[in-house]
Amino acid sequence: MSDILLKVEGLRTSFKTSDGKVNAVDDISFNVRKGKVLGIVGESGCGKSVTSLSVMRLIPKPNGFIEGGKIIFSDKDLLKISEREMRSLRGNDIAMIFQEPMTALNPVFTIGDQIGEVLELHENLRGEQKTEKCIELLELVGIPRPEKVIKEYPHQLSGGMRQRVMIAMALSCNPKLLIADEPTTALDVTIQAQVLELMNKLTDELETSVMFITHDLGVIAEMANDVIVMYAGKIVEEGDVVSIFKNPQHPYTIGLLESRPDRVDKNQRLTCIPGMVPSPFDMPKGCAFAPRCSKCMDICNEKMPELIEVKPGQKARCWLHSKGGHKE
Amino acid sequence: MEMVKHPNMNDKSVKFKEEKGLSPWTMALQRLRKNLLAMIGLVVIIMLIIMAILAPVITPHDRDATNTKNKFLSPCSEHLLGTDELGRDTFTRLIYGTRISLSVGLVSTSIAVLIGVTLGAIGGFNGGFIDNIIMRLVDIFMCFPFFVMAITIAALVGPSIWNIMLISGFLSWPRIARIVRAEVLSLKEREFIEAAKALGLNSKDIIIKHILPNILAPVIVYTTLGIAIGILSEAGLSFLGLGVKQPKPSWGNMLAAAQSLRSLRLHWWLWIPPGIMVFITILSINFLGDGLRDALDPKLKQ
Repeated sequence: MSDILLKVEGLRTSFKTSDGKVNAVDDISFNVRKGKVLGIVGESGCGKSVTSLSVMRLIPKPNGFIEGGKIIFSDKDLLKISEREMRSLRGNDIAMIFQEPMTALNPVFTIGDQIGEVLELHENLRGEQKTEKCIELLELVGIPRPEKVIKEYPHQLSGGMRQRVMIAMALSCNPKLLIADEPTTALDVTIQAQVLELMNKLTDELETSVMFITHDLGVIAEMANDVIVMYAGKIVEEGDVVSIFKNPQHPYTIGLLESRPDRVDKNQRLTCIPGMVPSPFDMPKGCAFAPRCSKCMDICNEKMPELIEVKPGQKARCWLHSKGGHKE
Repeated sequence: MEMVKHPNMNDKSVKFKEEKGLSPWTMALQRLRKNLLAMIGLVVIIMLIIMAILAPVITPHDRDATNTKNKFLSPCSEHLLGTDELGRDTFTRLIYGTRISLSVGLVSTSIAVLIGVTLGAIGGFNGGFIDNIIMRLVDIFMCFPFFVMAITIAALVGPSIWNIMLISGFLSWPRIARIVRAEVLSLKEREFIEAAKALGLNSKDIIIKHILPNILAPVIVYTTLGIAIGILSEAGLSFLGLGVKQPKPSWGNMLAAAQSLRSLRLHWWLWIPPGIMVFITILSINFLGDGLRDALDPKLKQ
């Protein structure tokens, strides 16, 4: 299994709240292959971002903590190494792009200062060399007149340009794994397409693995090789991108695919999944999706199904595909 | 590697023609320049500082030279502001007093800012137990009225210029610690701090490189206004004989002349000039401080 860069096993991340403990991510396992893109989809609040922050070990303390599981990144268990070792990995081997390009840059420093900081920290570049590398990186992400932009402040750049700067920063040390947490959600559609194209191109060239988190299925279709669908802190379906789109197995995935606006003709109402993600304090006893599921059976309200292989390379967590679920 | 070009991005950025981008500080400075009162304040303060530095050049007299023959001279061409009860030149002492008063204000505020920013930032950033201890300490300090505490401590440790600086500094850090902590609390939730963590920076670097530059605005405003408070408390304590000791002149201990009823009635040149100096200085600093606040936080004004 040498082509696996990141292996997450049984990850469980919880938050302490005034109303008790909440399992934001509940026993999830997945692999990120070398040079491939893993897409993580799901509604808001289903644990996508918490998963990515867990991998970075940046769960907000003291309320959040990782309860169990393993995060193995090139033979090292990230949950066992010291904070100092983890810091040397962050930005160097594992980099992250954030959702809001408008706020993810420090407003009081120039672009050059901020990219330079990473280069200084991990690559030990100084002076001339640092500036040159900054310009090179900005060129790489397609920013015009990079030698001017390094002297500018974040407020002088548009959202798309800022996101490019963030990408440049993330890629500055040639990370092995890039975690992109909804990198295009805050951008408008045309810029979105440009940024995606850029990410695709760069990850191909640099052979970076990507964990791509989004709630936009269109983006997943364009970017990902493998897909996991999350619901209420659990993986409900996983597989390669073609089978997920062509042949979705879990009713939630089917629902998500059906609620895309491009599938609907003019004047027709958009299909949607009724109801809302259940509150983590009030999880249904059985399958978390059962109250919203159109194919809900008796057993769904009783027991949580296991994640089982439905077809080679495609797994789903649904009684429709598990033994004991079928009526026949 | 090949460059990805997007024509529309090119168009968009043509607008920025400056060689170097305008930093938030440059923009604040431009706003400050338009504020007349603040600029007047700034000019007066600069003049006072020059006066303090060039004191020996400005006045021909020796600061402490007594001349019992010329006691209580009223203003004349030889002694611009007359002489005091020991025949010392009031104008000279007033100029030298600027040195003492300004430096007391500056040093005491620096002490307060140093302690306040350090503790406030550490508490705000780390939260939890450390934060609790620091903030309870702040609460305790804020339980006592400043002046009463200052008088008590000054009476215990004895009057001297260094004691005044230390007392004033150590008593006024809690206020700034609170301001800094509140700023840090909101800043540390911002995404760029998370991004800095994701890039592998440690807490110390994040506080120094990313948080402090962002809270500089309120700290600068507070420092400016704090200097005014420092000068005032020096004047107050010196007036009561608990501050700067004779023969060192400060505006506060020169004002002490007004304690004698005779001087109050007959020798106006002993107490009106230092009073006016304190008044002008505090007013200028406050003008500048208010101007800085408006310039650094333009949203506040609307």
